Formats: sequence, structure tokens, C-alpha cells
Amino acid sequence: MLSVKMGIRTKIIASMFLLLVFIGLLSFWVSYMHEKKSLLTSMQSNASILNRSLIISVTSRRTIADKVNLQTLVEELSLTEGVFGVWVIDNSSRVTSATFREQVGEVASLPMVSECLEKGYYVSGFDTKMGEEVYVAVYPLKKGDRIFGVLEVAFELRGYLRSGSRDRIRLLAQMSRDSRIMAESLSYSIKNMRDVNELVHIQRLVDRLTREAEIISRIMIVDDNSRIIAANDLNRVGMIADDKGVRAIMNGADIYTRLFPREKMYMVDMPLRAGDEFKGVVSVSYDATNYYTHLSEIFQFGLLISGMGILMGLLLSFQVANPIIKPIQRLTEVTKRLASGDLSQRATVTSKDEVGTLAGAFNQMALDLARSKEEIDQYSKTLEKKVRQRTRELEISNQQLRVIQNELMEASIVKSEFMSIASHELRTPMTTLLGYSELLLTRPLSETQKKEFLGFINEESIRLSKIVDDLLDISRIESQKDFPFVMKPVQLAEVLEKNIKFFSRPETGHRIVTEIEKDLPLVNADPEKLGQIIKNLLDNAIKYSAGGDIVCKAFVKDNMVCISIRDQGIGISQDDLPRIFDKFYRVERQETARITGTGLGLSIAKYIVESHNGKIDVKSELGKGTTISFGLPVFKD
Amino acid sequence: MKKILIVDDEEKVRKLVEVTLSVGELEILHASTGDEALEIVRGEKPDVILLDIMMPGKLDGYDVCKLLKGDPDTKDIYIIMLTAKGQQVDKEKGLAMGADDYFIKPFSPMELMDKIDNIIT
Repeated sequence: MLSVKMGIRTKIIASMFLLLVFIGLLSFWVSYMHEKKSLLTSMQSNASILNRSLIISVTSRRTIADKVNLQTLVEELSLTEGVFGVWVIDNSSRVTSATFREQVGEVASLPMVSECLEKGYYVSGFDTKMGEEVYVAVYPLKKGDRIFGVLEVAFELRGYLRSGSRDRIRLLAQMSRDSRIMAESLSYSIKNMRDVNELVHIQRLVDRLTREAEIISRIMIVDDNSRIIAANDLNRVGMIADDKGVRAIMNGADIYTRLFPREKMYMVDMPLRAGDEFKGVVSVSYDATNYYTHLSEIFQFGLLISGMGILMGLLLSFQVANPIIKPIQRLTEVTKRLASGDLSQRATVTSKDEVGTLAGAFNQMALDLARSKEEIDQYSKTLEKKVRQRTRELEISNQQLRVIQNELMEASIVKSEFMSIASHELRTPMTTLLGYSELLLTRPLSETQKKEFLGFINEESIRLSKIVDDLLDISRIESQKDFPFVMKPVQLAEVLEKNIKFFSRPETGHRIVTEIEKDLPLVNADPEKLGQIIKNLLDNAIKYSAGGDIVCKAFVKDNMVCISIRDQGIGISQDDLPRIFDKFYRVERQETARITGTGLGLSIAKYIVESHNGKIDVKSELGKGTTISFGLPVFKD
Repeated sequence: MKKILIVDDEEKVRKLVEVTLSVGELEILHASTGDEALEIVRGEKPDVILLDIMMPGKLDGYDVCKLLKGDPDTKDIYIIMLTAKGQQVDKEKGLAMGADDYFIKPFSPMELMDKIDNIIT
């Protein structure tokens, strides 16, 4: 059927168009039929009025005719317009009825009568009756083949003589027809003889009507035996009418109408009644040319109107369909583009109908979509950034972890090293203490030996004590607690001089020289801790030098109060220099083999100096000596 | 007369060992570094070596022990590690190097004397 490929536009237009065409044709047909019916109705009403009047005129005459006998009939016939006189003559040429009563019983002398009686056919001719020019028509009266008389009708010639030749022919025909119908009727049945006059009248009425009433084209009057008693076509008079209309009326119908399109006639059959008595049928055919002309005009006009309607319908379909379809097409187009990824697409439909709502919903959807995409993009960007950041953070923390791990591993190594060194450093003096004390207790020894051994024990006890002190200090420093500083403004030179006193031992071959600047500013420091540093440094200076001057200086440099201690000892190699502040780090050389120590002193010193926001520094040259100096910031109130 | 070599950087320790063992018929030899010890071993062929581990110089006690135990001439010398390194790992390492005995400082002179007596006789 309608292809699936058809667009919605085509479908809507087609269906609307078909609907409009259907409605147009239907209305055309209805109006046409209505028009036709109204035309027919008007024609029928006209026709029936005419028929009725005809019937009235016919029946009124028949009513009269019923009352008269042949004489009266003759007299009646005589009264027919244009008739001069009527005579009924029997076959013995005796006048049985006449317009002029006194002539009844006389023998007709007219040769035309005897000729007619003799020959049995219609004879007519001009004559003079009672001094008047007349036209005489003699007609045989027959019953079957038998001639029982003749009918003589004399027509006045006044009108005839006045009229032109053309009318004369017509009048002659009229006259002969009148006489003929009178004769026909009389001869058809003696019983019906009295109707002759009537029949003549009817026929004349019929003639006149067909002649004068232009709309009437045919008239036929039928009696109750279906015999035609009057007709415009005289040849049909006396024949049996056997058409549909006559039969229908015979069967009791009140009216029967028929259209003859070819002849353009409208035939109306109606019953002929006298009172309630059925007398026959009146059949009149009206000229329906007007009707057909009118109808075809209506039809043509209708066709024109329908054509225009169809054309307008087509235009209207487009006009109506376009505003519906255009937005849908636009929406479809936009949807396609949206689906292909262009999220900036918006429908531009602004109508207030469902399509407008759809477009609005579509736009909202597109907006939401775009927003969601943006959010997703944003989110993925943020996510990416976050991931990058987290990765960086992870890398950093990994690095930190590695550093920490390294530190921990180092710390672990340092710790086990510490344990090992600490145990060694502790066990070595302990060995002396334990061993010699056992010897003292268990061996017989000389006094000299006893003194010597006790001296060893004393020396090692001091050493042990110092080691324990250092270990405790370093352990406190390590754990970062319980290593309090009692800070106060201190004159560093005083601290130096006070501690130098402990080292004034001329037997070691060392000489301690001091060079102290005057009016040194104070520093904020813990004098006990500073003393510990100075003792440590002096101890080292003595331990690592065979003798010579140890120069102690106090001075101000770079806003710092500094102390430097210089020896003339073995010095420190460049390899060892960076590590001498490490815990337990001891320079191991041939020359240092006999030198004891924990390797903690410089480490502790560095910690204390840095805790005072100070700096400690070392300079050394192998074989020439070492200078260690530290400085503390000048105290400010 | 049996020869005992004491290798230790601490003079006080060497003297302690010497005094401790002075009651027996023993010749006490001294060395304060690994190198010195090896030199003495080559010249004197001691019966027992008391060997410290942590010593200044290029060779520590482990090195000395390993060298001596790896040398067919000196592998029979009875080596007693005499050290302040008292942790189990240190002891295991020493024994792995071929040391015959492991003494941890501080030690009892009496115990050391008993030990030496047992080894010699």
C-alpha cells in the first residue's frame, strides 16, 4: 500500500488531500442530488397542478355529458367553438339528432352524406347551410364494420376566411380532426356516443394545450379500458395504452412520474376521477429541457467548484501540513546532528503546540546532555589532574619513604654499629677493671704492682664514667628529650678560661695559649653544655697531638661570638673531615691506635652548638694540626 | 716452653694477660696490630694466640684468624678470640673464620689461665 518510505509529510498531505477530496465529492453529490430532487419536485408540482386542472376541465365536462342524451350531446357538440351545426344521420339518411331540432326526422339531402353512407369513408367539403358558408365534414359511424350512420359537422368559416393560408390549413386540419374524433367516438360505441361531444372537447383541449402550453409536449387521455380517447398524436386515439404509468395508475396509484432523458421529457400520469369513480388516466409529458439544462449547469458548476475545492484543498493541505511538519523535520534534522555528536544543536521551534513542547523538551534534553558531558569532561579533567597530583604526591611520598627507609636502614646500621661500638667501648675498660681487680684479689703482688694496677683501675674507671656520660648524652639527644638547656646570658670567654684550668697539665708536653678579644658581647647559652664542648675539644686537641701549643681564641665574627681551638697534632685527612661529626666516627690510623674515645664528643658538640643557633666548623691539614671553631649568635636584649 | 701470643691494641689488656699467665712456664709474646701479629707468628710459631678483633690498622682479628687458618704452616695454632665484641653474630663469625675458642671481654683471668692450661697439657 502506501510505501513505508513515505515521509510523514507526504503521508499527512496525502491523507488530508484524500479526506478533502472525499468531503468535496460527497458535498457535491449531496447538493447535486438535492438540487435535482428540488428541480424534480418543482417540476412535478407544476405538472401535477397542470394535470389536475386538466382533469378538472375534463371531468367537469364529462359530468355534464353524462346528463345528456344524443340530442343533448349533439347540442353540446354544437356549442363547440367554431361549430355551426352537428347532425347525426342514420343509415337511412334520416336525421336522428341535430343542432337544429326541427331538422330531426328529416332526410338528409346532402350528397356528401349519401356518399359517406355509401362508401363508408370520411368526406368533407365546403357548403352553404342556412345561407352561411360552412365547412362540412362527414364521418361514418361504425360499429365494427357496419355503418349505422354518419356524423355531419358543419364548421363556421368566419375565422377560416379571415385567416391566412397557413392558418387555413391548420383550421381545416382542426376541423377534420374535430369531426373525426366526434365520429370516432360515436362510432366506437353507441353507448359512448353521448361522450363524443365531450371527447371532441377533450381532444380540442389536448390540442390546444399541446399547442399553446410550450412546456407540454405530449398529452394522452385514457379511459378505464385503457383506450386512448384523446391524444396530441391523433393516430393514437382509439389505441390501447399499455405503458408503465397507465398500468400503475390503473392499479390504484395516485401519481406516477417518469423522466425520459433522451426526449428530455417528464411524464406525469394521474388518475381521472369523477367523484370516487375511476374514469381513466391523464398522462402529460412536459418538456424537461430546462430541467436537463439546469441540471447540467449545476453539474458543470459543481464540477468547477469541486475542482477549485480540490485545488484549494491541495494548497490548504500543504499550508496546514507545513507548519506541523516543518518543525518536526527541523527537529529530526537537529536530532540527527545531535546524535552525531554536536551537542550545541538546539531546536528553534517556538510553537505552543505538542511539537513546541517536544522541541522544548528536546532542548532541555540537549542542554542536560551538554551539561552532563561538560560535567563528565570537567570531572575527568579533575580526575586526571587529581590522579596526576596523587601520582606526584605518591612519588614524593615514595621518595620520602625511600629516604626514610634509607635513613632507617642507616639508622639501623648505625644502631647496630652503635651497639657494637658501645659494647666494645664499655667492655674494654671493664676488662681492665675486672681483670686487675681479680689479680689484686687473688695474686700475691708487690706494692709497686698493686699501685700500678690500682692506677689502671682508676684510669679506666674515669674513662668508663666519661663513656657512660657521653652515651647518656647521645641517647638523650637521640630521643630528643631529657637534654635540657638552661639558657642565660653568658660571657663565653669566662666559660673558656674556667674550663682550660682542668687541662693545665704540663706533663703532657702541651702548652695552652689563650687569645681573647676584649669586651666580647654576651651570648644566650647554657654554660654547662658549653663547658662540656670546650673540654671535649681540648681533650681531642691533647689526645691527637704529641705536644706543642694549643691556641684557644675568643673573638667576634659575623655577629657571632666565636671560640677556636687549634692544635699542632696529626691532623685529619680530607676523606675523614666530612665525617668527624658523625656519631662513633673515629679516625683510625696508626697514630690513633692508642687513643681511646667513644667517637661521640664532636657529635654531641655539634648538637649543642646547633641547638644554640650556632655553627661549628673544622679545618685541618695532615701532620700540621687541626682547628675546630664554633660561634654563637650575639645576645640581644 | 710453650709460646703464647697476645694480640691487642690495649696495652693494659696485654699486660693483664701477661700477669695472669706469668705463673706458668710460658713465653708471652705481644702484638698490638694484625700486621705485627702475623710477623711474630712467622718468626716465633706460638702455640696459642689470644686474638683481639677490633684493632687499628688494615687487618682486624677476623682477617688475621682467616689468614693463619688458611696457611698450612699456621693452621694448627690454637686461636682464642679475646674480644669485646660480645654479640652472638660476632662469635659465630669468629668461629667461621676458624677460631678454636671465643672469649668475651671482660674476662676472668682465672678462667683464661685454666683454659690455657687445658690447651697446653
